Amino acid sequence: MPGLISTNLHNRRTVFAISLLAYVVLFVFIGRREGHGAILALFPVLTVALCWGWRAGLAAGLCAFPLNMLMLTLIGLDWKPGMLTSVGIIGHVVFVLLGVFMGYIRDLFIQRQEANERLQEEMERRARDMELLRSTEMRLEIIIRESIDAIVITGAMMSRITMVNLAFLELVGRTQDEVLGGSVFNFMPVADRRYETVLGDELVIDERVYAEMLAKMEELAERGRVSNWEFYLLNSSGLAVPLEASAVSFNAAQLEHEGAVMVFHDITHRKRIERRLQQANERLQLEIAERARDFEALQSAQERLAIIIEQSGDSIFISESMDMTFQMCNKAFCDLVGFDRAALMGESIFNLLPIIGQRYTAMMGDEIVIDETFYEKSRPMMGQLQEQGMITNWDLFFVNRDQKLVPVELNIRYMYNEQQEFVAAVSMVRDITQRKLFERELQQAKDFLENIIENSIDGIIISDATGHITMVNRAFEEIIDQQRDELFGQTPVVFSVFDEGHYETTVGEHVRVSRDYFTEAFAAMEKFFQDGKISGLLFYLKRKDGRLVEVEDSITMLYNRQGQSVGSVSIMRDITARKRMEHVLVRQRDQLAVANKELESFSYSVSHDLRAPLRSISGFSSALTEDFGHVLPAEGRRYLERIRAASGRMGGLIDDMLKLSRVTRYDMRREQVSLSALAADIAAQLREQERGRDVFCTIEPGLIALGDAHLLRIAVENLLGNAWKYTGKRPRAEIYFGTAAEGDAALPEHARGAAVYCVRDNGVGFDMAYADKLFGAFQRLHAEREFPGTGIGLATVQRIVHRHGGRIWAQSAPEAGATFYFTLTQEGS
Amino acid sequence: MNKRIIMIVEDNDDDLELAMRAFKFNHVLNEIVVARDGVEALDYLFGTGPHAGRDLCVMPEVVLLDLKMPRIGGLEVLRRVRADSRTRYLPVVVLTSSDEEKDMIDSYHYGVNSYIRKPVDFNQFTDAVRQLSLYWMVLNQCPRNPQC
Repeated sequence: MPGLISTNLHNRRTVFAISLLAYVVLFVFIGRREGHGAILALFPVLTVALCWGWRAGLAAGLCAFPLNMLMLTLIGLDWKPGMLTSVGIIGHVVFVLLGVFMGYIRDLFIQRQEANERLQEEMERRARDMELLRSTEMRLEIIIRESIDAIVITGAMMSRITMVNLAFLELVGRTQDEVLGGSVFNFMPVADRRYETVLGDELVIDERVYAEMLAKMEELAERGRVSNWEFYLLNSSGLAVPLEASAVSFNAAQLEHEGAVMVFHDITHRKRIERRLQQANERLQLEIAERARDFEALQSAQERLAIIIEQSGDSIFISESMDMTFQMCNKAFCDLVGFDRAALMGESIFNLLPIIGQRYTAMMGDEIVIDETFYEKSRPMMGQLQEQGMITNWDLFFVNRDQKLVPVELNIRYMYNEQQEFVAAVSMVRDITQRKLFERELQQAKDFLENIIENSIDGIIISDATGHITMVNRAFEEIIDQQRDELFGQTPVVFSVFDEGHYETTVGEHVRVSRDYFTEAFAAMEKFFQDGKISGLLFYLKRKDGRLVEVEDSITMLYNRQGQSVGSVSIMRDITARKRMEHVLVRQRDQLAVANKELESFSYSVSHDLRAPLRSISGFSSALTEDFGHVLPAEGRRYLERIRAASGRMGGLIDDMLKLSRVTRYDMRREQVSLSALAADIAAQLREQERGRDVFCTIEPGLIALGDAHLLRIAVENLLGNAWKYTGKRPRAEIYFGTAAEGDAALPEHARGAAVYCVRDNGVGFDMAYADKLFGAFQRLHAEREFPGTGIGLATVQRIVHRHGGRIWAQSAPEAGATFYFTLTQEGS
Repeated sequence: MNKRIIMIVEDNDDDLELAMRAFKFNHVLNEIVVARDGVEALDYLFGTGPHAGRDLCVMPEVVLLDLKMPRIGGLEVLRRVRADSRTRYLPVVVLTSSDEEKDMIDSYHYGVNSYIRKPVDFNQFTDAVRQLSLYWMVLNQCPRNPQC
């Protein structure tokens, strides 16, 4: 039943048709029997009632009687109304009542079912609505939270903030806790105050601005929404941020309270752009105005340009054709080539180039014959001009009006218009005579230096910063017997000794190169790298023939102006010859030592052997005199006396000679010697020996000399002794010992700067003609009988002075006294 | 022990004769023993060679010794004399032509008692001999050989 009830119209019609058809068929079979057929009508009545409700049931019940009558007629029962029984009538009334009743039952059932369905539908709809609402809310919340625009949800009249998003918090620079519950007004500028905006300009909230704001708030209250509301909020720095606000108000009916949603869109960027646009606009205006002025100025600029070109220091030549024929040139160009503009008319700039094979005088003063290479060098430049429309720094010669070659630097540039069409060729020509002269001077200086290096007696190597040889001179080639071509790009390793062992040297000896040699060499090089130079370094180089050559090397690091090392120069002196000389000297020294030894034994012999016969001569002549004097005539005795005297003199000579040789061999010991004290002591001795002489002796006090006390005593003894002796004939002898006066005319040039001592007397003096004999051994300028002596004294003095490294000389004239000068140290030392 | 001897070691005949003359001149009456070189001198002093068996208790009061002599020189004689206990304290005077400092130093090094250079002049030489004999023979005292 419920299925039937709930079926749709189509199903209900089918059910009705089936029941009607069942009624008709059953009626045909059982309708003839009394009362049976009439009951059959219950099927369709109930079907209709159940399908269409009580009204349809009533109608079907009412129709059951006529239908049964119709059926009875159709099946051929002759029916008459009189045949109608009360049962039949009651039955039909029951049909009607059943139809209405069942219909009513059905309606009630349907009604309840429909109410149930509606309720369920409503509940589903509610659920769907809730779902939708929830997702919408979440989305909304996300939108609000993530919105770039600041969003605030407030209570009535923008107070009591209930929700804000991150953008708003960032905008005002507060935390959520600080903001919630407060009012938007807290972040708004206050009236009658000045603020700075984030754009950097000033904002004044005057009455007008305030009134506008109030108007907008009223509009929000009245119309529920407001937009395009220009708004300012203060950020954490107190700067006003320009915003565009929109607000929507809502009321309690919807959301249980009244309030508004406010959206603030930061328009700082827009404002900035607007401002820039405005500024750009202003600039554009200015520019336009300027252009207008420029345009006016263009005319005069063109004129000025012509003047500038004309006055330019560089020579300028302009051609409007590619063959570079004259169009325009400036004064400098005319001056450079010596032609006036009229003469240049129709000429190409290339016509100024020199002719092959011709001899010219250049501005630098030298003669130059132009050969083909001059043009060959220019060919690539011409190609470049055609290809690239320009040439720069083209060095060549122009021939000027005087047929002289002017060195020039040529720059040519083709000019094109905007359509890339050739307009003109502009040539800038620079006179580089000065530069050429300078370059030549530089070259000469370089040649000069290279010449010096090349011809130096010492070997010279120049290396770059990496130690590779860049230059070698002839002397060095000779030192290591190798050509420079083999050395360029090499390092000194190629001629260094690296293996221990025995080697032959150029000196001709065999040397052993040991580990010590390398240790020393490395230490020296280390020192060189530390100090930047080293000198007097001795080491071996290996020659091509395998022999070693010893050199004395001085290496100096070369620096540029920035103080960076750019290489080094090494100057090497071949000391082979010196070494050989040293060897010779050593040999000679040894020979000398032998000779000296011989001399020593010779002097020994002299002292010993020569004196013995003298003693015999002297002794026996004495014996002769004593024993046989009485038998000899007086003359004979005199002769014997002379023999004795002569042998005595010879003994003296031998003694003096030995003294002289001893002075030479004596081991000197230098010390501070007081010459003054020495001289005074000797003078006292002399005075003692020759009492009764009137000698006035002056000794300068405080004379201290560095020398050997014993030798100096001998020297001063001799000098003062001589003075004493040669003043013997003066009634009043005057002797002076001291230093020579600065202005003494007798002082030779060589004595300047050294202490010069002198012994002066007023004795007999001597003739300067014999001055050269003065200091020779056994040389005397006076007769023995006048002044006794052996002629050894001054030779001894000279030797002593020489051994001290000094000099001795004398100044005198006959009967005018004599002065002996001496120094004791080498001049200047 | 009245026999006071002077020994003179001298190879040069002239010098020897002049010396003898000088002794004579100065009235030196002592016995003069002459040796003509170092070998002879040592033979005499140590009783060897021709002097074997000589009474070695008889020693000169002074030996006048020349330095430059054939065979054994004066310095060698001096060295040996000083090396021997018998002659260690024997007075030796070097009488020589040499005034080389080296000779002088060497002589003193070997313990000479005196070093005298022979003057060329005979008068001076005579004078020197006189003083020598006076000093060494008369004034000087010397220890005796303890074995004698």
